[in-house]
Amino acid sequence: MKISKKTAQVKMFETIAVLVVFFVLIMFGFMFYTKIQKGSFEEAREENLILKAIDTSQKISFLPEFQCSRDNIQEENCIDMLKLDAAEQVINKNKLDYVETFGFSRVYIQEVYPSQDEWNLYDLPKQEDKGKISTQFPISLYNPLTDTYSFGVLFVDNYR
Amino acid sequence: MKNYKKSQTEIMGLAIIIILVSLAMLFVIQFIILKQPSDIKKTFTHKELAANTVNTLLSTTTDCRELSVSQLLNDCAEGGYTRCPVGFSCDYVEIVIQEILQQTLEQWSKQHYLTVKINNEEVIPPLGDPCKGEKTTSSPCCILPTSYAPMKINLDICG
Repeated sequence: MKISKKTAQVKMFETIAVLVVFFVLIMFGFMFYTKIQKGSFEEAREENLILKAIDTSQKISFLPEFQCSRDNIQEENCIDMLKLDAAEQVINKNKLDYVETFGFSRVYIQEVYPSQDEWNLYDLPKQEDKGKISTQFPISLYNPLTDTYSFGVLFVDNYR
Repeated sequence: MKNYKKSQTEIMGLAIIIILVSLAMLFVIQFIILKQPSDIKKTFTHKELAANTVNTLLSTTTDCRELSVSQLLNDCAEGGYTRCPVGFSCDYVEIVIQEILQQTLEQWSKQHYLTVKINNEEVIPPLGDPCKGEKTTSSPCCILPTSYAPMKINLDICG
């Protein structure tokens, strides 16, 4: 009787030890999972911001406010500098009309070659400053007065 | 009967272990599948950047008789007799491309390698360093017709 009681105690201790190890393993697994999920959530957020920047750049390329055209034929990957001068003022005056298109971002165009110029088209930062993701897209800048093309870069900074 | 019950318990333990291993495997597979799209997006942005850079570069008007980069490259391939503010068309187009790449890709810390070739012969010396690891190329974009053979302009963005 005494021996079987001891055996039962050992068995119980064994079961408890197995359960403890099991729960410790589950806890570690859960901690690992939450850490990975947190990382992938941040990654997904960054990716979405990059996608949004691509989306914004595409929208700008095809906005009639900017797009180059010759004989009513639209040119791809090209922005008209004269339209750009006018659009800079129009967009900044009517910022609210463009919120749906650009969201919380800064959109500006820099001329890289031959001269260096900059057009600030839109800027709407978030109240809380959490930094931004900057994406660049090379784009042709057409000057209809001289019939020349400059090398420009469209910057889309998405606020986090 | 006692042995039968014991073996049932053993099988239960085995089943739990198998379930745990399967869960771990599922977790690993899910992690790998979720990782893939980020590479696709990275490739897409790099591809867009490479193709846009070459396209924009080719249409850019230079200070050399208001000729575009593509026209200068064409002239260079056909002998390079056009005089420019600095040297002839071959030297000048190289300077212009170098200047633009310095102010764009190099400033954004994007390692790149640009080649301009006709039938595998270099029209101008390659710009940048060849990519050692992963790269995104601008091709199939950017082939210019010349009087000899098509000129292929290729830009690799490393990483």
